[in-house]
Parts: sequence; C-alpha cells; structure tokens
Amino acid sequence: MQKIENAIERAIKFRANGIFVSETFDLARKQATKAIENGLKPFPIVVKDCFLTKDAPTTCASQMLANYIPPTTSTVVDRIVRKGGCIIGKTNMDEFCMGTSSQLGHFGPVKSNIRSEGGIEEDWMIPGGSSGGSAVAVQTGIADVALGSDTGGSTRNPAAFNGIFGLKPTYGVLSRQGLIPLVNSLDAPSIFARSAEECWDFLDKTRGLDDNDSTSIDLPESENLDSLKNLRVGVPIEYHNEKLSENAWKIWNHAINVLKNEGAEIFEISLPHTKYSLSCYSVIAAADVASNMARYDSVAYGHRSSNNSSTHEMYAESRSESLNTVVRRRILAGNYFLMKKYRSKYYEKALKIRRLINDEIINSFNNLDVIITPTASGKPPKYSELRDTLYSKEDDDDYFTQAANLAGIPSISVPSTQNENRENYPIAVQIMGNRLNDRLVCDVARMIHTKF
Amino acid sequence: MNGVHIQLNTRTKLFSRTLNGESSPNRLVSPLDMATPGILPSLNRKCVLHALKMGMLFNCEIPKISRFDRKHYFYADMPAGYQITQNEKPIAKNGRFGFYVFDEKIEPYWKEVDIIQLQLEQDSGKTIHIDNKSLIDYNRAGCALVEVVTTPCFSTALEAICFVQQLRLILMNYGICDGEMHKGQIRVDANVSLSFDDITGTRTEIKNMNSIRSIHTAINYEIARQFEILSNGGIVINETRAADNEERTVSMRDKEVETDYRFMVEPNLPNLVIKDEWLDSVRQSLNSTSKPKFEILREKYGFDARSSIHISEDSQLLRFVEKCVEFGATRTILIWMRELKTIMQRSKSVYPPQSQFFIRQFVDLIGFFEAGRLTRLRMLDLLRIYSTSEQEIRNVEQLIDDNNYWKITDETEIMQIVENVLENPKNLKIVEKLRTGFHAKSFNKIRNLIVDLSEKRIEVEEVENILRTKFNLVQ
Repeated sequence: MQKIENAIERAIKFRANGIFVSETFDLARKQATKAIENGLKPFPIVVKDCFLTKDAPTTCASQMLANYIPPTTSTVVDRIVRKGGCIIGKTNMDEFCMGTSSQLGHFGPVKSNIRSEGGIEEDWMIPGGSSGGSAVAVQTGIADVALGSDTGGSTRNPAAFNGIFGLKPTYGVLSRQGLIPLVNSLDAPSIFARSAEECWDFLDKTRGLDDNDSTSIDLPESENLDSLKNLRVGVPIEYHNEKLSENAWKIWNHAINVLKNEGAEIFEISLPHTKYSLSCYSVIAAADVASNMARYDSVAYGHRSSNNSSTHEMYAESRSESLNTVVRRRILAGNYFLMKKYRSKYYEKALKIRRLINDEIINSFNNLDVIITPTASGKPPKYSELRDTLYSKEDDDDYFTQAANLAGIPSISVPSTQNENRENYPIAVQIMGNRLNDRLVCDVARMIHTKF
Repeated sequence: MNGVHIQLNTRTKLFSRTLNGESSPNRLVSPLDMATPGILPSLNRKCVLHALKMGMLFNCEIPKISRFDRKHYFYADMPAGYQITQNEKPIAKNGRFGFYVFDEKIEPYWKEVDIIQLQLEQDSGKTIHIDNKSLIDYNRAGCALVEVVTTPCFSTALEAICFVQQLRLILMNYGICDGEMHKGQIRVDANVSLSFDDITGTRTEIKNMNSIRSIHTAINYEIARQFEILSNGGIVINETRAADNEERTVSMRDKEVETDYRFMVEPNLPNLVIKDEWLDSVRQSLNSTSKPKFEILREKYGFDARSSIHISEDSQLLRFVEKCVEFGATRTILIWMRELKTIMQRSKSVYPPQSQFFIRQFVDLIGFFEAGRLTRLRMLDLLRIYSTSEQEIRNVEQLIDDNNYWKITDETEIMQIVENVLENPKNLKIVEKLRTGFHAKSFNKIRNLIVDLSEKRIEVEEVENILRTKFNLVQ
C-alpha cells in the first residue's frame, strides 16, 4: 500500500510535466485494497488514455472524447489489475495516437523530465510519442510499468527518448479489445519499464487469447535464454542513412560490439524495401484512420457542436471543432486513398508494398535470430526545435520503428547506459525478433543492457 | 441487380452478444452496436451457419474463404459510419433459385433466377421522426442480415413478388428467418429500368420495401413513371427512390449524388474459413427438415401453385388444409373451401374452422358428393349445419342416414317426383305456359318445386335436363 501512496506523491510532484489526462488516485487505492484482500502485492501502473477504463474517463487526448467514460474496461488493463496493478492515472498522449511528440493533445503537452535542470516552463525536451505520458511516468518513477500503444513506434520511440525500455509485442499477443484503434492491423498494446525483465513480466501477465479479439493469439511457451553465444544477429544497412545522427550511429555500433564480445555472430543484411515503409505506412494508416474516425458523428456520444442547423452540419462542425489538424488531415487523406477512383493507385499499392516489407523481414529470420537497429534518429529534440521545424522530425524517427509494425514482429527498445553516451542524452537501439519470439527479444535486451 | 435483405432469426446479433429481438427502444444495445470506440466485433457462428444453409438452398458455390468489408457512409442510425458487410468475397455466390409465377389471371409458369451472391452484413438502427425531432433506436443496429443479390432478371412486378413470396416461405420453413415483413424482417431493394430493342435504360433503385403489396405497386408505378418520361423524350435519372404510402415512388433527396462507399477490408476480423464440419451439419439439418408446405401441397397433393402458396402463407388455413389432406382430401377441397368460407362469413363464424370433428365431416361430405351420393344443395345445407351448429354431434353419415338425405339415383323415383309436380292441379297454369315454349320464370318455378319436393335430393341440373327433354325446349 505504501508503494501506491509513494507513486501518488510522485505523480503530484511531477504534475508540471503534463503526464496525466486524468489522475485516478482513489481508483488506485481501491484497487490496492482489493489486491491485498486477494493476497496479491499491489504495484503502481499508469495507462495510456487510449485504453478503455470503465471507472475513469478515456479521452484519447481529444476534445471529441473529453468527457467520455467508457462502458467497459480493455482486456489488457483488466488482466493487469487482476494481477495487482493499481492505476495511478490515465496518461497524456498525442491526440488519437497521431504523432511522435505528445505535444499537440487537447490537454496540453507532455514535458520530458530528461535534462530538466533549467526548468520546463519555457522549453523542454520532447518525451517522444505518441505514448509520451506513459514513458515519462516510468522515467520519473511514478510507475514501475506503464501501458502504451505502438502502431508505428509510439512506445519504442518515447522509451528511447526517456532512457527506459519499451516493448512492442508480436501483433495479437496482447488483446486489442478496449484499445481505441489507430491502425487496426498495426496496433499493439505495448509496455514501458525500467528493465527488460519487467517488460517481459508484464507481457507474461497479460498475454494470450481473448474471445473479444478475433485477431488475438497465444504465445508459445519458450525457454529463458542465458547466453548470447552463437546468437545470429542481423544489421540492416538501410538503417544507416542520412537521418541517423552520429551519436546514434556510435551507440548502435557499441551495441553490436557488445553482442560480438558475448559471442554472437553478426551479419550485415539488406532490407531494401524498408525505405518505403514511411509512405506505405502513411497510406495504410490514413485509410484506417478515416474509417475508424467515422464513428465520431456526435450523435450518441462525444463532443457536439452547438450548430444544429442540419444533421450534416452538426457532424461537420462537431468534428471540425473537436479534432486537431493532424487528425483531420489524416481523415481527409484516408478518404481520398479509399475512393473508388484512387484506391488502386494508392491504397492497394500500399498494401502490396506492405507485403514486400513484411516478407523481406520475415524471410531474413530464416538465417537470423534477431535484428538490431537504432530506435530513433538521434537524441530527443527540444520543444522549440520541433516547433520551428513544424514537427517534420517526427517522420525521421518513424522510419526506424514502422517496419516492425508492418511485419507484426516483436521489438524492444533498449536504452544505452550513460558511460558510452558522451552527450548524456538518452539514446537507444531496438532488438527485433521473428513473430512470437517476444521472450527472445526481451532476453537479448536484458543481456545487452548489462554491458551497454 | 436486386437485393433482398433477410433478417436472420439468431438469438444474438451478428458481431455482439446482444439479444436479437423486440424491446422498448434502445434496450437491446451493447457498446459494439452503438459503435463506442475500442470495441471489437466477434462473429456469431450461428449466423454463419444460417448463411451457409441459404447458400445450399439456393444452389450456391460456397468458397472456402470469405471475408468482411467496411462500407462507409454517414447516416444517423449507422453508428460506426460504416456497415460491416461482404463485398468482394461473400460467403456464397453463383446460385440459382426457381419459383412459380402466377396470379388470378395467368397460367402459372416456372422461372429461375441467378443469384450473384449472399452476403452476411450488419443491420442499421432506426430513425424515428417525431415533430421536428429525429430519435434513434439502436435495437436493430448490428442484427444479422443476409442480402440475397440477384441479377437483373425480373421482367414484371409480378415475377418480383412471386420470388419474394416463395423465398420467404422457404426461409421460414428452414428456420432461417421469421418472415414477418411488416416488422422489416424481409426488406427489398428493386432496381427498375426499361429497355428498348435490347438496349437497357437507366435504372432507379427503390429501397427498403417491406410488404408484397408495396413491392408490386411501387415497381409498377416506377415502370409507368419511366415510360411516361421516356415517351416524352425525357431522361431517367439514376437515383434512389422510396415507396411512399400512396403507392408511388419518391426521390430520396439525400442520395442524389452517387455515394462512394470507400470499401476496405474489415481489419478486426480474420478471413472466415469455412470448416467442412459446418457444411456437414448444415446439410444434415436441411435433409432432416421436411420440404416447405407449399411444395408438399403442390407435389404430393396436386394443388395448383397459386393455392398452395396462398394456403402456406396463412398458418390457420394451412393447419386446416393439412388436417383435410390427412383425412384423405385432395385439391378438390378448394371449391368447397370457398363455399365454406362464404357460409361461415355470413354466419359470422371463424373461418377456417379448427375443430377436428368438423374437418372430418367436411372431408367425408366431399367424399360423398364426389361419389355422387349427395346433391350440391343438400351438401351446402349440411355444411351450414355443421359449420354453424355446435350441437350436432352425429357424424354426417349417420345424420344423412337418419334423415335420408342421400341423393335419389333411381330413375323411376325421380320421374315420379317430376310427375307429381307437373300433374299437381295447382301448377296447371305454369305447366301450360311451358308447353307453348320456353318461359324462364315458369321454367324456374317448376324446377324449384321439383327440387323442393325431392327435399333437395335431386341435382338442379338434372331436373333442368329432364324438363327440357320433356317439353322439348331449346334455350
């Protein structure tokens, strides 16, 4: 119980960081009491605000859902609460998970706690996104583990920017029931923690089939890996590109050296289609966004405009008033890509490219156990930088993470320890494995980290 | 292309576990049905089995793999902004359905139509307009439909309604749909176009018709409307129309522009792979269900197509007829059913009667009549007695014996009665008139006297023949 009270105290201490959309302290206390009654050890968690929680608002950081309290709780949240998880709060994010900065949500920006000595009022480090709030909550020690979501890197990217671990499991291993979708075929509930073991532990507690999610799958039992000896590691050359900062390149090399020193075999590989992942992702994502967002018509729930002059006027005004520019742009683009006239030119092409990217990665695992790449192009930017470049840097970072979503494979972001990192900013590498090798990527991450 | 939407009578909806049925507004709604965010669909197995059953009944190909698509359009009672349906890979396709076409005026004929596909899909909610308010009831939202999509193959409104009528009876027979059209359990979209010299004209679509009558009148109205336009050199606009309450079709203004449905694969549902054991169980269930009643009446008992369908559509009437055939009746009961109906309506009794005892007597009476043992008039009297009196408990044979109602077949006995009337001095004047030539009034008078004297035990026609011969009358 003391643990929960400590977490609440820290949550209050870090209020200025904009970590939470809703604080649910009383709920956490109630859950802790119940856990103790059931003979469990309560532990603090935070949940990204795109997961349904019956007892607290679920807003997706959007005005559209600003007052929305869902009728049910998502499967993953339900499972972790049953194991003793106590929800300290619902965390802030990019509106409807669209973005890699957590800056443009309806409830204000999330401010990183990294290098915050000079204060965070005027300028601050970007926590990454879209699950920025969850990442900062773990970095600041409010929660041991946090739930995020990862569609194109939304967990691994903020994990990298905050110097913690971020695990995106194999698609389907964590149920999507109760996760407000971004791109249904790419979305994966994902995990933040300060160690790879904790990431695995959370996954182990919540994984598996769910009757409510027809795309959910079971993870086969697998042995714990104790040595990196003879591990076959692929290093894709396409991730060494003009976007990659020198520092990030050094850290990546360092990680490869660690692996080599531990007896792993290193192979240079080529994944030539990876360079298309950004445009492929943009089209597929926009199409799903357009479709998924169609339900927000303000008829039965959600923000409703005072303009009621006609049904269509009401739809349009309510949506324009309550969805931000990023969201509205993607809706427009998605509807365009799905139109009869353009469908084969964009949407169907993107699906084909997705298949190529997928096959290329999956085939590479015929001869490899894991692939290692940088998680992001470099250190986290400052808010002022991002603002001045109109958020274009977001795309640079997406490049490194999207392929794992397009292939549905597990991937974990591993933070480097500070000693090799002269600038003292968090930088990370990601370990990707074949589908259902979630345990393997966690084990490799754990072993690298001790020497990293 | 025409579509008939069949509401499946499964216990729960297509993708949620909400009950499928009737209730006060918005009582049968789960989060998925009203499309609250983050809730995923799970396919109802029973709905799949029902659709497979339909596929087999309509001789469709059933592909191993089918899948679901999202069809997007904004409509207030369509909460997700899209309908989950099957567009490219439906559960069944390339089928054929045969049926009889008939009405009072034409000789029934057999017609077969091509079914393009059967698609499993979600129903929408209902919008109810009260004053200037629009209210939405989501009870129906998410219920399972199978849309039967046919080729443009109907030549007349009559063919269309006969198709729907027989489709309905078959689906009800196999427990797929409850068939209550007024409750919207079967809804029809009809595409109407006129062609000239084999060039097909622009079509209009009449949506959402839910009675046989409105399908008939709306299609005919639409044909006439288009004919009028084309005859005057005008152009038919491709648009969606609705059948109104005054047997017309009216343009639905909100859909004048062609909607781009922006189809995409439903990403939350994997491909539906049809298991062999499902097909086996469906086949078994079809084989163990007896054929639709109208087919049995037609094939086994020789009823004509129109009557057998008419009877099948009325459960009371069907029960009556089934009992009759069980007691040995054949299609000849149809004539007597009409008489019985008139009699009972006149006496304000409930037709068709359901008493087993009555039905037995009814069938026996017909048997006696057909064996030439009862006259028509006596038969009608007896029907009157049995259908209106609750006291009569003797069976007909007994009653006829006791009262000697049997038809007189002995020639001399008949002639005796005829002579008695003709020679009766009271009738002398009338008989005289007949001798001088045909005089309708006198003829009828004498005929009736003879029938009366026989206590209706001689057929009217027989008496007439005798009189004609006797007086050498030509009519």
